[in-house]
Amino acid sequence: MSKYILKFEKDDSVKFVSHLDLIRVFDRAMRRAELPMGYSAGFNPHPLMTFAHPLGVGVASCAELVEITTSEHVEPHIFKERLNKKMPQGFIVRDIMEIDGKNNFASLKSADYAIKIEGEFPKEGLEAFFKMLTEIKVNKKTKRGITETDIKPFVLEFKEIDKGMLNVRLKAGAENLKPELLIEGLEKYIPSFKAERVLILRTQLLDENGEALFRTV
Amino acid sequence: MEEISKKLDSVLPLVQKPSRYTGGELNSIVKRAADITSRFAFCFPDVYEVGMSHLGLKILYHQLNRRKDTWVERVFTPWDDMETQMREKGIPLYGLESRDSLKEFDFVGFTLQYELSYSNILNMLELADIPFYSSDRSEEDPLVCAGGPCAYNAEPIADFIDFFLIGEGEEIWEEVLDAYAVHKKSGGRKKDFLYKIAREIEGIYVPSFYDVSYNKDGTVEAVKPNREGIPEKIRKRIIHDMDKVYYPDAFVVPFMDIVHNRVMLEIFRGCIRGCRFCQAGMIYRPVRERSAENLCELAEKLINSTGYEEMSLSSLSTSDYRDFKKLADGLIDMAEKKKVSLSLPSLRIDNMSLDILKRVQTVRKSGLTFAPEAGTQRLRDVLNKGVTEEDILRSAKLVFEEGWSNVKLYFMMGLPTETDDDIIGIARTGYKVLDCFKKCESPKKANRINVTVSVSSFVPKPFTPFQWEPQNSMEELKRKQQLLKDSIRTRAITYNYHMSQVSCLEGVFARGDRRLSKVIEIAHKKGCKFDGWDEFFKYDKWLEAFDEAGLVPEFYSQRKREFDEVFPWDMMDIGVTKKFLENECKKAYRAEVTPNCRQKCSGCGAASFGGGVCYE
Repeated sequence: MSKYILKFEKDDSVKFVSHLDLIRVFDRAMRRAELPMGYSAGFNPHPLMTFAHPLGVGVASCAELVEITTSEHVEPHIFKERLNKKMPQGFIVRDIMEIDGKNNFASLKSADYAIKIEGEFPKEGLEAFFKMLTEIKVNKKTKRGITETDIKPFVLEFKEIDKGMLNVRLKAGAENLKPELLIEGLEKYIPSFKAERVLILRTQLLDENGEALFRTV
Repeated sequence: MEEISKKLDSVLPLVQKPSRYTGGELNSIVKRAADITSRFAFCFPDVYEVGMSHLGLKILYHQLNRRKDTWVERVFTPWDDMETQMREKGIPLYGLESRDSLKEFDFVGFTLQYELSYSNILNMLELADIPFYSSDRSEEDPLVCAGGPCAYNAEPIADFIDFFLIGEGEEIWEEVLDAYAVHKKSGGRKKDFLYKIAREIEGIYVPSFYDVSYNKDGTVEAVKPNREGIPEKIRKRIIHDMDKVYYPDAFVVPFMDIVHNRVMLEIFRGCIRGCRFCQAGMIYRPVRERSAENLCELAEKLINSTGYEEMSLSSLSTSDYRDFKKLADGLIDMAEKKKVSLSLPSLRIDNMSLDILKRVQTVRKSGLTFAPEAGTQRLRDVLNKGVTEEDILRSAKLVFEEGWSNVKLYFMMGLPTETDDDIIGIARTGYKVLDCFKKCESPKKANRINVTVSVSSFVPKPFTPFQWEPQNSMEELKRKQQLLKDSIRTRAITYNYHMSQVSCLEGVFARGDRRLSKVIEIAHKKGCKFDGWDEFFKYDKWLEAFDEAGLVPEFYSQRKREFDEVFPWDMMDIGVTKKFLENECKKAYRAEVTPNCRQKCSGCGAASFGGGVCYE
């Protein structure tokens, strides 16, 4: 048994592939690539695969992390090369590393997103408006069901680099905010803002020190 | 395309299972529209996960996309949440590969797998902004065509369809596309193209080239060509050599889970059995097999190209495959090597098949299926089912001794000559299987047992020996369902039955005529769609539609037809003759069985195709 962490891209064309379906995507690509996927023991064996942080349906990413266990050792660069030849279009493995012990997915604390919005915007710009807001209360799914939550503290960074182009850092992991919910909150609090089409790209998963998770394994 | 894609970005987050609508799956085929002569929208009038499970689509999609001049795309019926969004945001029905509106295609082709999908066809045409009636469509609209098993009697939708392809699609589609390439080059109207293919390509049926006249009692008087050179009879097309015909070595692999999400191997077409209720058993005659070597090779290629974790066999009666042991051994070895599983359909259980089942990992100790179809030997002989009670009990004994604990028994009710004793016989059969378990003394015997008795309502189909038979009324079916329910008094038997209203509607369209087009149009306007889905089925709306069209559903389904009646589908030549079917019907009344094709040829007429089991 060998363990690897793969950093992969899930582009705009496959952003509606759900998290559950992603397991099948990798399992089948591994089989096509004739890579020795590791399976759990038992009557219903399942592929040994762990994702760092589920991606919402409709969100693209260039920084997804998955841990895959193989039944035999494969040189990491060969693993990456062979898998990439067999991944469906829209998925690309960008980086790979072999690990000895446990993965560091539990140290995930935040995620970066690049958001592009088409619609109507306030004259002052979204960033200025955002800074003035003291709270952003929205209905948020929590362990206790749907409750009204102030999500402003979940937003660690908020930059508007151009009209409708946002770079945000949101809490991720145990305390988590989905970028879609942030847009919904902004629409609720900023009357002149209306998002007609929203494209979201996750660009990084980070640990408590703000370091890229993949680098600090 | 651009415009539709942009709208999808804002719509897809709002609907369930958005990957039904995105395309982009592994092995799907994208071409440059500008390079293409024939753009063909292959439409399956049901939701993605149903349509994507259909083998015919996979075959034609990959085969025809090998042509440089043709681009086949897939289209399914959007689920109602998506339909609402599409209507609100003005998104037309589009091909999954190009995301172009169906209006931009040359062919919009529907596969007709079950009668209850007819209302979805109109809904899809409406979503594509294509007029329903052939006569209302302009030169700018695509050619709307249809094929598949229901095309043998698709008269209820004849007014909506420009041309039907009768029989197996592999060869005839190539000929149609060749003819279309010539037509497009030389110019001309759609009518000219239809006239040409109706005369020159065997198996093409253009409904507008045939006039139907009716008798005073509402039955068909005659179906006659109304143009010179149009054939009186349309002969179905079949593939003669299953080892030479194209079979895909790659399938489109969906992202989401679908009904049959695996490699499917079609081991043969047709069936030697000749069960008298079964349409497939007649229209796909004669039986033609694919060789075990060819199948094992295809299986390996398909596993390599799809990465599927499972494969299964497809045919009408797997146990009748002559080289079954060789095939199973080959596939099981391959499955072990590739770490995939093989799932087998219901087999006739004997020592050989049991050995194979034991080797196959996916057949758990739960779930084995038998289809006695009827509850008494007399009625099974009427059906020509060729299964005796001893067969069933011997199989049950074998599987119980091996530790299986769940047995499913499939039956039908509402069959010709059926009495209440036959209905109670279903319960008796269930009890005998239960008894068999109680008597079993094997050390491997399971602790508990569940026998599931599933009963569907018989629907008489055209091109079967029972095509003259009346269907039971809904009241009669309900009475029989209750009678059976009262006859089963143990928790060890689970009794399942299906809504009889759905079968009644199916019964009307199965043997319907052209006048029903109006009913389908009215029902569509009343919101009927997805009639095969309980949550959508609106029987009262259908009844209103019949009423408004001035037609009586019972005329089609519950009338005993005379042997000399002209049927709306009599212009179709399936090889099997009407005379043979009539004889079979009369033999059914005498509970007389007919040997299967390999025991003795009964002269059904399929030998005229010059191949298959008739010449083994």
